Amino acid sequence: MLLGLIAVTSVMASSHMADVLPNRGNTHLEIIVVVVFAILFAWISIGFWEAMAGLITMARRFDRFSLTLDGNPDLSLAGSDAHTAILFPIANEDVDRVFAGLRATYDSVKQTGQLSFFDFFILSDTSDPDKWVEEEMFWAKTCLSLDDQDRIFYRRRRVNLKRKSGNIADFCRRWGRNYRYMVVMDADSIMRGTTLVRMVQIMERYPKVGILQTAPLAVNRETPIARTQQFANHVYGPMFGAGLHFIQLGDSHFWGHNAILRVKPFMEHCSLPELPGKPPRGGYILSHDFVEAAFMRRAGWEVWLAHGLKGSYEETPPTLLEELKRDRRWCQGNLQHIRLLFTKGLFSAHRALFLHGAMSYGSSLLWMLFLALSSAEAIVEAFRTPIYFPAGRALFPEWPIWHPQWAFTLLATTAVVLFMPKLLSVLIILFKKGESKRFGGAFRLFASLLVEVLFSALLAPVRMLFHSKFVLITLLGRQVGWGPQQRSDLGTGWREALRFHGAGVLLALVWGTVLFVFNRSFFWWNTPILIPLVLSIPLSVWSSQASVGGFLRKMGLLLIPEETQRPEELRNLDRILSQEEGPSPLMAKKEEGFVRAVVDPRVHALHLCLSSQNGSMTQEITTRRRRLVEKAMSQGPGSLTAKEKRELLYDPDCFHELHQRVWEISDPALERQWGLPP
Amino acid sequence: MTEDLAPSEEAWQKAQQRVCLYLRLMNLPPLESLELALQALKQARQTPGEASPLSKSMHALRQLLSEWERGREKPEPGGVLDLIRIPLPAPLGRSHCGGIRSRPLHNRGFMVPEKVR
Repeated sequence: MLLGLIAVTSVMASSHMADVLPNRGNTHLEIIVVVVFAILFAWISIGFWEAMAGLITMARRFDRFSLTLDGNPDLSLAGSDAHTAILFPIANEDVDRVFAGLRATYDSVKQTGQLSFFDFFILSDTSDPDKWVEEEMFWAKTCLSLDDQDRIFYRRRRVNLKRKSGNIADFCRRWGRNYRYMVVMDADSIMRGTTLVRMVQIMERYPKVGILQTAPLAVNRETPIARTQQFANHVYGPMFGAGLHFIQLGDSHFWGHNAILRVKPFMEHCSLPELPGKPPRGGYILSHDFVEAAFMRRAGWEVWLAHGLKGSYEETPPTLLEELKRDRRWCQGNLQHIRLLFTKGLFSAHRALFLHGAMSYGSSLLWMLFLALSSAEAIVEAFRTPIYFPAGRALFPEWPIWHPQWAFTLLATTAVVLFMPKLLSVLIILFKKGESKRFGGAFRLFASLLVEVLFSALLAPVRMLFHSKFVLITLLGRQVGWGPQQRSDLGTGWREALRFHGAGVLLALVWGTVLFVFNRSFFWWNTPILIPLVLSIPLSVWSSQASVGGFLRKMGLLLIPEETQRPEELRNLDRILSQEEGPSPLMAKKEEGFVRAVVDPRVHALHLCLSSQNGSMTQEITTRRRRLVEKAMSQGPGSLTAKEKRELLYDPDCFHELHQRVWEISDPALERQWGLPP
Repeated sequence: MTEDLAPSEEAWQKAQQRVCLYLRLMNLPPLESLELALQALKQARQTPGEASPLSKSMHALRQLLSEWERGREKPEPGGVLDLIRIPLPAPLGRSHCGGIRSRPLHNRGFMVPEKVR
């Protein structure tokens, strides 16, 4: 039915598009324009019909397929053997924030009285030596402050094979058999204790469910771009979530975090193969979550979206550039999925999800193509002499007539498809008693809607340009790094913005000038694309400034319920993050983990205790490490590269020798470098 | 004798500060900390050789801490909290770590990737 609705709306819109074109879609160029438009319209109408399905589900207020146990006050897991591991796979993340999230989740679970069913794992793939030591320190500090041992574990991998999916698989191989379920978190995830217990209860109640994904709510950000995303996530998210649930049922998504997985079938069926060929098209599967869901389903286990479960949170990228960096990784991963489209045994719903994921970025390239082709058509038309008397008999001459009202109708239809779900989402909130207050009141909710629409419209062309570039780069075989995401509200500088957006501004200026000179009326139609592109540098900088976001917040715009009524687990997170470490007599900063592990006897001792014993080493390695100790002693820690620091951290004997010798330093310059007071 | 020591008095003062800083970072109880510092400096003064006062003092302190460590009660195996809570001795070798572990014992399983067809 969904396909039918999409097809009907797309065909109708495309035929209208053909009528709008100067030659009624009768030239080769116009045929291509209409085909690309049809694909793009089909793409946006998927979202529209999903939202409509969500609207029906929410209006009925009853969903017989819902797995959530709303209203059930029983929060006990007693009598079950539902031992659950809560995993935080991390790699070079903000250590403070990761452990604060873990702590907030731990405290919340503890309040439910079901803590004995849960263990917590920090699964580190961190390569930065300073962060590595910081993680060890925070792990010890967390255990100590909670007065709990053998419940919070820390494991760091030496070789980061297969990145996050490899990290989880490594956990499964080592300890998976100890647990019936695992909850996979992101570095910035927080989950409410009651939500976690509910998830375990649902898994116990429905033994065929392999993965239960929550719909995480975006919180805690202050920059305008992130606040816009948070608002959209809170206002439109529930309707889209309900729509997805209505359409997908047991063939749903796995988004890689804030989800619970049944460990045994995951271990049996979800180990990811290496794709033949070189990266980015081949090699390790990057966006592992979609594939794991497809494999789980292929093995007969269901994958559900628990869209009604509250108390699941994540954070969005704070700046446009951070978002685009993330998108580049996702783009590469999603395009890789095309190679899995025809994998034997997969359910068609998951093949569709692969295609959907690829189209999330491919659609930008198509939009770009559509704009380029329609601009070309407009320029060609400017030079073409109209043929009033075509070959063959005709009673009257053919006047080239353009009907602007048809174009406006088409524009209005597209706007309805794009914006109607947003408006309906707001109306749903207004109809729920007391709900609009949580968004700052009805007036502010509407005003925020306008701000969000304006903001999305301004950023859409910028995103289109970058996504098109990412798709092209990936198709050309260039791969991307997988660095950590910036998760704090640090803004984008003008120079950085210029470096990233400069080429886009230039392209828009050239494109706009050409259209302005050759076909002015078409130029005005393209201004909604051209103006944001020309303004992309200030847009990028402005949208990343927490002060601007703070101003919007003060005005009561883009508010979310977690800001008007902060949930306990988020209040606890704020409290933990605001705690400051006591002053240290050492001059080394908190972030200088390596220096602290060398100098501070307690940090040093902790690191040695967590290190593995030196195995048999070749003479070459021993000599190299001895030279590193000498280098560190003569030139200070700043002379060592990250790799050299890691090598020393791996070697307890050399590291301990360095510790002893550093404490005997008397040279003032070296003392300073090692953080020793003079 | 006084004339011989006079030029290095500053070095001994620095050694004293360094020893005290080390003990302070270890978070030892104040009295024990002072006693250890005094003993370390006395031992260092009596140590013959050309090493600097700083080296001699830190060396003496390490030896004293080893003895102190041998004398104190060992934490229960597996008791990570006890180990972190109790001041850690400086010359920690792995033998001093007791049962500290940041991860549970392995319970090996398999995850074998299937070929994609």
